[in-house]
Amino acid sequence: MRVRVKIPKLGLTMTEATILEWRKSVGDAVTAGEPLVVIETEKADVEVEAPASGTLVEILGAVKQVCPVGGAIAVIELPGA
Amino acid sequence: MREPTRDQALRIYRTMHLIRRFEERVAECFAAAEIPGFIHLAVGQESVPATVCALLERDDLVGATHRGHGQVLAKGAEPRRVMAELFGRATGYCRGKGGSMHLCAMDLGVLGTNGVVGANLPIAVGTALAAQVRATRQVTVGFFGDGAANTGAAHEALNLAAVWDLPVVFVCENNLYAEFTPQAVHTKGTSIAARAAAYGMRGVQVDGNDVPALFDAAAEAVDAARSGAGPTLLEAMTYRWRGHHEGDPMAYRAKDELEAWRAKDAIPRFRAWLVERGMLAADEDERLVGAVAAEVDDATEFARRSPWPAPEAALEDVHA
Ligand SMILES: Cc1ncc(C[n+]2csc(CCOP(=O)(O)OP(=O)(O)O)c2C)c(N)n1
Ligand SMILES: [Mg+2]
Repeated sequence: MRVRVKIPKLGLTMTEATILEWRKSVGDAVTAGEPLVVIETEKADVEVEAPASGTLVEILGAVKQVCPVGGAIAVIELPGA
Repeated sequence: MREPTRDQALRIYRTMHLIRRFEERVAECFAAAEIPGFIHLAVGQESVPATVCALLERDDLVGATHRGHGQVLAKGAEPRRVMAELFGRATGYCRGKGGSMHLCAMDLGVLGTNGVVGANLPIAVGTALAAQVRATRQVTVGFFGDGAANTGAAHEALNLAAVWDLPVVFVCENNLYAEFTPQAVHTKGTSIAARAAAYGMRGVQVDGNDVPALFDAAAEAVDAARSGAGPTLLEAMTYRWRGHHEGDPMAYRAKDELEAWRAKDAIPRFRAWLVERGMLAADEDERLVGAVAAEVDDATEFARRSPWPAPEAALEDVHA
């Protein structure tokens, strides 16, 4: 099974965020709760954590790209899938 | 030492699980942009409202805070209607117009969560005065935070309640932070309960994550209020695990501080207490946790499929 990593809503008026830095690369193992990517919102730079444990199989949001809240930026494949 | 009966103990334990699960779900729904507004969650602090409210009767009253979903659920609010309120739907307690910080349920004695820090305390004093004048034996609980303790409203409320021997319990959920400011920076001294002496009321500081200890202190405070012996300032030491509001990156506190408090989680501590007394078998625990999870799933689905308030209803329930 695959889980999409989405831009979380982090504030009252937030509608989008800019990807600043990926902490993981495609092919890396990730653990739920581990910092995955740093995004810039209107208020602050925030680390987004991996929502699930598995392998990072796809990065959809490139650095400097502006993504909407709820937009998918990566895909994690769960083990046994 | 007053111990909870088996019924009270299981109710407290279940309520803690309910609040934890509910708040975690709210976090997910907020991140997915399903919930509007500003959200303050009480994950880590569940034991305080769960224990205090287990001592209350249905017609007792609760003045809640901006971090108040747990206080409202502990007073008996239906998860469905609380979740719907957070989603802004017409099926919520305030028909979707109150939201997280203006959620009241008068039929359950919930005077409202409150976005104005400290402002719920004078309201709690007001209902306590009403109960005293009418001799109803109702008790009011006013929840507040360590930050709220330093508002003028809190001072006025505590003073008047003491002067008039009102049937109210002031419960400070001291989670050691007011927004992003640690207690040591906003308050000199480490005991808010110690201020009680200056007001002329009882003051107790207790480990808020130790349910039996908190129950003992809260039972005495509620009994005192109900029997006409006046107010108590009960300070429950606890910790919030999540940010001040959802989306707060928590850059102001060390990760090991959070880990240390996670190790003091009230839920497994109280589970051990229940098991030791033979009040909770393993299969009962599993059933209870499963039932709570199903209840929160149901509440979420109910909120999602509920209608928005009608535009024509915008001026209903408005008092100005
Ligand atoms: C009168 C007032 N002042 C300031 C604020 C902004 N504010 C919101 S929450 C908060 C901190 C409250 O701290 P505390 O009472 O400890 O409650 P906690 O958030 O820790 O639960 C502040 C200052 C407010 N909402 N109302
Ligand atoms: Mg606080």
